[in-house]
Amino acid sequence: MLGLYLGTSPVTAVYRNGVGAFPDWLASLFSGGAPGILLDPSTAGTLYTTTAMTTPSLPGDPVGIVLDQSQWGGKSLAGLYGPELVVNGGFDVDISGWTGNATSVLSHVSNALRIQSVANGASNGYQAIAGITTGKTYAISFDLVKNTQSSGTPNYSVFGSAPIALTSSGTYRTTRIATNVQLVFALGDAALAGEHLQIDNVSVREVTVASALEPVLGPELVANGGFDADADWDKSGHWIISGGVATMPSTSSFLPLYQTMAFVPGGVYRIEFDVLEITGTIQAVLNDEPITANKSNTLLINSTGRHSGLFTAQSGAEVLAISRSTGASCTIDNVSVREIPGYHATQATAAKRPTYGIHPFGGARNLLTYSEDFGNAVWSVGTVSGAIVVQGAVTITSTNGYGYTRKVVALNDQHSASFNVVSDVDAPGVGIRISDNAGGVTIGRYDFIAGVVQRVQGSRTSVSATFFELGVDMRGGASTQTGFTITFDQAQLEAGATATPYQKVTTQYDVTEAGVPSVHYLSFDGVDDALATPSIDFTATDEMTVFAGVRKLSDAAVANLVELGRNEANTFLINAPLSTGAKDYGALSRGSLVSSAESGAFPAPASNVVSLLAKIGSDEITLRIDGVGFSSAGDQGDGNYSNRPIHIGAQQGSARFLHGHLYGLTVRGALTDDAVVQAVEAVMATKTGVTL
Amino acid sequence: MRLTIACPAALVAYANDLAMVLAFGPDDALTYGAPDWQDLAGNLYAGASFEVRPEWMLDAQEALARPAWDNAEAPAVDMDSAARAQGRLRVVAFDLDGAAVDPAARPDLITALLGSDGPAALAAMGLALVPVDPI
Repeated sequence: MLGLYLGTSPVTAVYRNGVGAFPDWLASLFSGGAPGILLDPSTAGTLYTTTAMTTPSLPGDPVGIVLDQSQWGGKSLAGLYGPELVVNGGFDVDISGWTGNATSVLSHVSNALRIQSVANGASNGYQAIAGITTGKTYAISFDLVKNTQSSGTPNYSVFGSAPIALTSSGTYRTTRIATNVQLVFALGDAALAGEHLQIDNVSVREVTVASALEPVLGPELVANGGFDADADWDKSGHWIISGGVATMPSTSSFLPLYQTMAFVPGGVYRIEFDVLEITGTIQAVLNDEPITANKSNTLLINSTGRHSGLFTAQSGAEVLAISRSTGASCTIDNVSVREIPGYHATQATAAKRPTYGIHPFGGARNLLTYSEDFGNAVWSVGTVSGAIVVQGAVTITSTNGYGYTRKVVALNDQHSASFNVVSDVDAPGVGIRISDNAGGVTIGRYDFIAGVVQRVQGSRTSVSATFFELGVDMRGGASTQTGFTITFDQAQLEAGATATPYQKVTTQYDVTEAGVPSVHYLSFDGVDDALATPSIDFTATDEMTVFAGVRKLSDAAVANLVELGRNEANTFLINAPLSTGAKDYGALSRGSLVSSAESGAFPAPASNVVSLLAKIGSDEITLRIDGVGFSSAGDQGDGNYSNRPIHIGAQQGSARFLHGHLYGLTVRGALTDDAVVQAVEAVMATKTGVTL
Repeated sequence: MRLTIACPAALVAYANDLAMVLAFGPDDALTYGAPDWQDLAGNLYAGASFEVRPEWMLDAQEALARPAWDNAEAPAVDMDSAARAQGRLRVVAFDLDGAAVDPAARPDLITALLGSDGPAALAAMGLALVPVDPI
């Protein structure tokens, strides 16, 4: 993985020109009118289990609709970042806020920070950055203006990281999870007295990727929603509009109050109104005209207050109808219906919906599920003798007793197990053991004090194992202790011999780690999952830019990540992988002819930021993987892109299914400046949980 | 828990009626699509994979009832067809060591296998993707 950007990157200009250091990429991508989509699973409120949008998706839930944010007003990328945290990062007047170590002298030179050695050896300048929160993600950037170190290389360290080499002048940029507050620039150990480096434009800002955007709603569709006059509404002969409210006084009628308005089939609408009085239940729904059938999902309300719901308009939806069940009166006011604009991606068939998931930045390591819920059916009672075992707890009843709790999991290599263990009474010499189909290893013998939790860790290598057990084994030990109960918690099983910080796992789609931000994704199962947007009219442009955050889980079969079409003219396509057994990515762009680009090897499993830039008229196609470009100048013929749906995760929704995760997807019917491309890729990397 | 299903090509129409009964609506008639998986003998299967609800597992073993959303006078679901699929549905069992018992797909049965990964489950059934054109 690349750790930094070097040289005369155009990003330098962006940083130096932009007030907020990052380009206003949402505005520049879509505010100019370029058609496209922006899908971001990390934005709260954009994922729902079905197209009816009655239930937001939680981790592990299917996703029937992803709201497209491309038309939400071009909210600034700067809105995704917190305020600048570096004190005096521009060095416009002096170097206040910065400190050097004992062998360095800091000075203000050419509106930059000079760090100079006064003796041979490492010298540094640093700042303890106020406002840093451990575990949050930060975007760091700075310019190396000058370096005179003659032997070895200077370096920088952020949040206690190992030194990162500064190999040439230019802008450096990275995203890091904070573990402490230090940002250090240093001359290397081989530096000589008098040698120096100069740093400028230092920036550290929190990356606040989740819930940063709010939808910009379309125009109000309701006339006289405040019931200021007895007009515009059909009252079905029973409703009364008077005094600025609408009332249904009859106890026998549930005929609706309704109004005709223009709905777009497939469009998503936010409906809101105040309920001032109610007994029984109110129903709001889109209907045909005359009212014979519901043409949307329904919103049911049984309490006062302002209520809202999201509706997907079916073909034939012509009126908003509000009715109530029989029984009592209801009074309503301030009715509003506004579209949430965009090309929302949907899947109507339940089995074909991708699954929403979260995992910590950097990836999921714990191979278990329900790591703190041993009562779940995924755990069972394993081997037992001279003990009583329930899931997650072993009570020893014999001096040679042993007992295990078991989890089905495939193991075929070296793995490490770590978990909390506690005894209900003082118990010396307790053997804690991990095992599987082929045997086990006693991690150690522990002296437990009642109620005091110990975290233990051990490793073994297994071949073709189908289960994992953790347990208590008193055989072979000197202890004669019985009648104690050992309870397990916070179990982790992971590849390799070394235990890493604990990750809590409920389902495989819900993995979290204390102090580490979560990234959000759609899981495509490689069998039948797919999404599609309505048709998007790209016929006015021959330019295309795509950004995607991807975790490719398999190279076993050719798969389509995103496409405008398959074999048709005037389309584009990104594969992951390009062909069966290949360990790469591929892309093609077609006018009347086709040109393709293929990346180098990125063997699955691999998390990558994938970008496509193409222009039919000038035969340009560049596929970028983690910022590295793979281009072709093959003839793409003539014409613009077409007016078709964008298919995500499959070929036309029916073949070449993606086996992997999608952390974000932006498709834009225009080319994008290099600087903005790099900035968007940096954001996509943060959303994907990788560091470019 | 994820359930992955291999449906023989000849049973796809029946299985889609059953899918409508066990899922949510007429859109679930498209649950089983093209038979793009095959066993060593060349028998073709349509694959489906989804996070299965406990209700699905229970309902699949009970007498089928026409779903509330379906109009009996102009039905979308052929209940006889759904029952035929239900009669061919086999959920693979696991032994105490967690190994699947006889998971191989059969051309006369709709084979369902629990697991965390769809393609891995289909592979465990002895199925592979039918080769496709390079474009």
